[in-house]
Amino acid sequence: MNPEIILVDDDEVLLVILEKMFLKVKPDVNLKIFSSGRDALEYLTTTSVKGKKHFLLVDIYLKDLSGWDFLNELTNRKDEEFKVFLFTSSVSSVNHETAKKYPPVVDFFEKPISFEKIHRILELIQQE
Amino acid sequence: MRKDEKSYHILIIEDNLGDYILIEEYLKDYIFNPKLLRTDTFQAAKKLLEDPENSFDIIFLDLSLPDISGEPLIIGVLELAKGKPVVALTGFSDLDFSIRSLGLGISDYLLKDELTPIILYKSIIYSIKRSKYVEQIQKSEKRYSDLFQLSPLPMWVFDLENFRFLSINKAAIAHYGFSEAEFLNMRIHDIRPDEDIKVMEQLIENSRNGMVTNPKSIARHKKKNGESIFVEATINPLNFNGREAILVLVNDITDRLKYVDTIEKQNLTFREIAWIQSHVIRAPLARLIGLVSLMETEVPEATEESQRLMGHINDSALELDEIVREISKKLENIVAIQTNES
Repeated sequence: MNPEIILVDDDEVLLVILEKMFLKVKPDVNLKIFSSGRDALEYLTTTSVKGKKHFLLVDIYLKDLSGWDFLNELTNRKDEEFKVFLFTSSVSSVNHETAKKYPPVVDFFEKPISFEKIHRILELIQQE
Repeated sequence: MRKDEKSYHILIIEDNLGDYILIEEYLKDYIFNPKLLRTDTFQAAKKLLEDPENSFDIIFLDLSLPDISGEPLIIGVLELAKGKPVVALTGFSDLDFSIRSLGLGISDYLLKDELTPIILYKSIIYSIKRSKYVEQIQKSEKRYSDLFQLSPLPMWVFDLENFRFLSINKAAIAHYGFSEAEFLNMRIHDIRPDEDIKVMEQLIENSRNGMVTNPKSIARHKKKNGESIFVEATINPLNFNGREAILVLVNDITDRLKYVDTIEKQNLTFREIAWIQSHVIRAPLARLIGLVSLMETEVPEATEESQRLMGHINDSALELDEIVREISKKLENIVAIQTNES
C-alpha cells in the first residue's frame, strides 16, 4: 500500500526539503505538494471519493488560511477520513493544546523537520 | 468644715487693697492653703504672667486699673492668661459691661459688693473645670482641623444645597492653583469640564437619594491653569456648621492612568515580539537545520574537512534554535502572566 501524502506549507524552501527527505527515506513515496491551503482544499474537493482516507502534513500558519481553518474545513467533510500531521515553526505551547482538540490530528511536530520525524510519520501512516 | 486641700495658684489683679484683703479672707474660708499673688497694675500683671516660672490656676481681674481698664484690659489679660480662666471683679456700675465681657472670653464675673466666700469658691471650682473642658474641646477641634488641613491629599467641603465650596485644605489650594478666597467664591462646577457637569449633577442627585453605595468615583477635574486631571474622589456626607454638606477627598490618578496606558502598549509590543520570536524567527532557522541534514546525505563524497564544517553549521543552527526556544519560553511566561492579570 502506497497512500498519497499531501504536503501543505507556504514555505517553498521547506517544501523542497520535505520532498527530498521523503524521497530519501522512501523513494517511491506518493507526494502531492501545495503551497496554499486553498489549493489543497480544492484538490481534495475535486478528487473526493466517499470513504477515502487522506494523509496530510499541514503547517499551522498558512498565509491564505490558518491551519486551524484548514482543520475546521476538513472536520466538516464527513464523507471522508482525514489523518493530519501538524507542523509549526512556533514553539508556543498553546498550539499543542489546541491541536489536541481536533480529531483528525494524529500528531504534532515542531520544525525543524528531521529524518527521524519523516520516519515516524511514515510509520504512523503504515499503521493506519 | 473641711477645707479644700489642693494648692491653688491664684493671681489677683486688684488696685484696691481693701478689696484684695477681703478676697484673701474669703478664699481662706474654703481653701486650706491658697497661693496668692497680687499686683495692682496691668503692667505688673503682664510681667508676672510672661514669666515662665509662674503658673496660675485662675486669675481674678478688677476691671478698672490705674494704667488700663475696660475692654483693652480684658483682651490684654486674656491673651497673657493663655487659656487659664480669668474671672472679672466688678462693681454695680460696671454690671452691663461685665456681662458683655463674657463674650470676650471671661469665665465668670463677680460683683464685689455681693461677694461671699461660697460664691467665690464656687466660681473658682467652676471656672477651672470649665476651662479644662474648653481646652479639651479646642484640642480635639484642632486635631480634626489638622487632619483636614495637613492632609497631603486635596480635600474640601461643599454645600449640598448651592454647591459652593465651604472649606478647602492646603493641598487642594496647592494642587488646583486657586487661592482659598477664589475657592470660596466658586461652585464645584467650576473645577469640572463643561461636558462632565450633567454626569456630576446626576451623581450628586443619586447620592442624595441614597442610590450611591460606593463613595469612590473617578472624575475629570480642571485646574486653574486649564489642565485636565483624572481623580479618584471619595465623598462622605457631613453636617458642616449646620449645613448639609459633602466632604470630598481627592486622589490625582492622572499619572497612574498614563503609566497603565504605557504598560498596556508595551504589553502589546511584547506579545508581538513573543509571536515573532516564536514563529517568524524560527521559520528560516528550521529551514536551515533541515537543509543541513539534507546536505549531509546529498553530498556523500564530501571531504572530511567539508563534513566537519557542515557539522559546525549544524551545531551552530541547533545552538541558535536552543536560544530562540529559551527566549520564547520566557516571553510566553510573561505574556501568560499579563493575560491572567488583565
